Amino acid sequence: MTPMIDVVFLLIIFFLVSSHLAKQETRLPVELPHASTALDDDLDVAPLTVNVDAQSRWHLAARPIEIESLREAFKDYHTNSSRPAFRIRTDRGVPYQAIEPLLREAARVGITDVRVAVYAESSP
Amino acid sequence: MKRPTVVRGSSLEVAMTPMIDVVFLLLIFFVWTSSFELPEMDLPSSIAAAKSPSGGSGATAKSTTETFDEIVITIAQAGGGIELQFNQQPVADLSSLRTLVSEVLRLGVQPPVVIDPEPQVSMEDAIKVFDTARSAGADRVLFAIDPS
Repeated sequence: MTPMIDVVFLLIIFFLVSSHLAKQETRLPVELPHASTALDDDLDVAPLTVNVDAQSRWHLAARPIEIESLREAFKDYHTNSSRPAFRIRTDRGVPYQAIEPLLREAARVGITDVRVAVYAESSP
Repeated sequence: MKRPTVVRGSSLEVAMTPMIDVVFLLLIFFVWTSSFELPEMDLPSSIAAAKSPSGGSGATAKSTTETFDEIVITIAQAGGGIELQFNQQPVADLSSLRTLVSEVLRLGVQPPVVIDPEPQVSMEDAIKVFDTARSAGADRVLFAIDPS
């Protein structure tokens, strides 16, 4: 009995670990900026996250996206969400001109709750 | 009186295999729970649109005319660094910007702080200024957009 339980237990742990690692891979790796006054994620809202990589390309749901389809996505999201919010994960080297169109489209459909993903920093 | 015989061998030996099992399980557990990624946090923000006839919802439209109804911080790229302006007055660096913002807030008003970076300014610098304004105590820090 005991060896069997051991093996089963190891298998359970193995699948838990692999599923955990698979979850972590869903994020586009970008070098976020640092900020000291950041807050924890608000779990009550499900924000629409747009990733901006170091080459200033926009990604929505793991796919590169252009401004027209982004506009559609914003509209869809805004009508279907009870508390619409918009979250930007941007590389720290990206110029503001790559971010401004995103904010403009968000404001145009009426999303004003914006979050910027950052790494925490102990002192400013 | 009979002395209890010391049993040598098997019973005093540390059983290695269960110990290795347990250590191995502990190892896996800690590797699993430790995440090698830095935790990501959120900076709450909002959008301030410059006045425009076509602009989005009215709630985001801000006028830039009244003083201290809002604080506008513009960021310009200058050489290797950035140049800051606080309501059109140049500010030397981030710490004097923080002093300025906290002095305004000490008057008891809580004006929205609008961050207006020039197109070439990197997000790292923009977030730094944003963070400075928030650490000075400003509740509402917004990013400016040009609605055209």
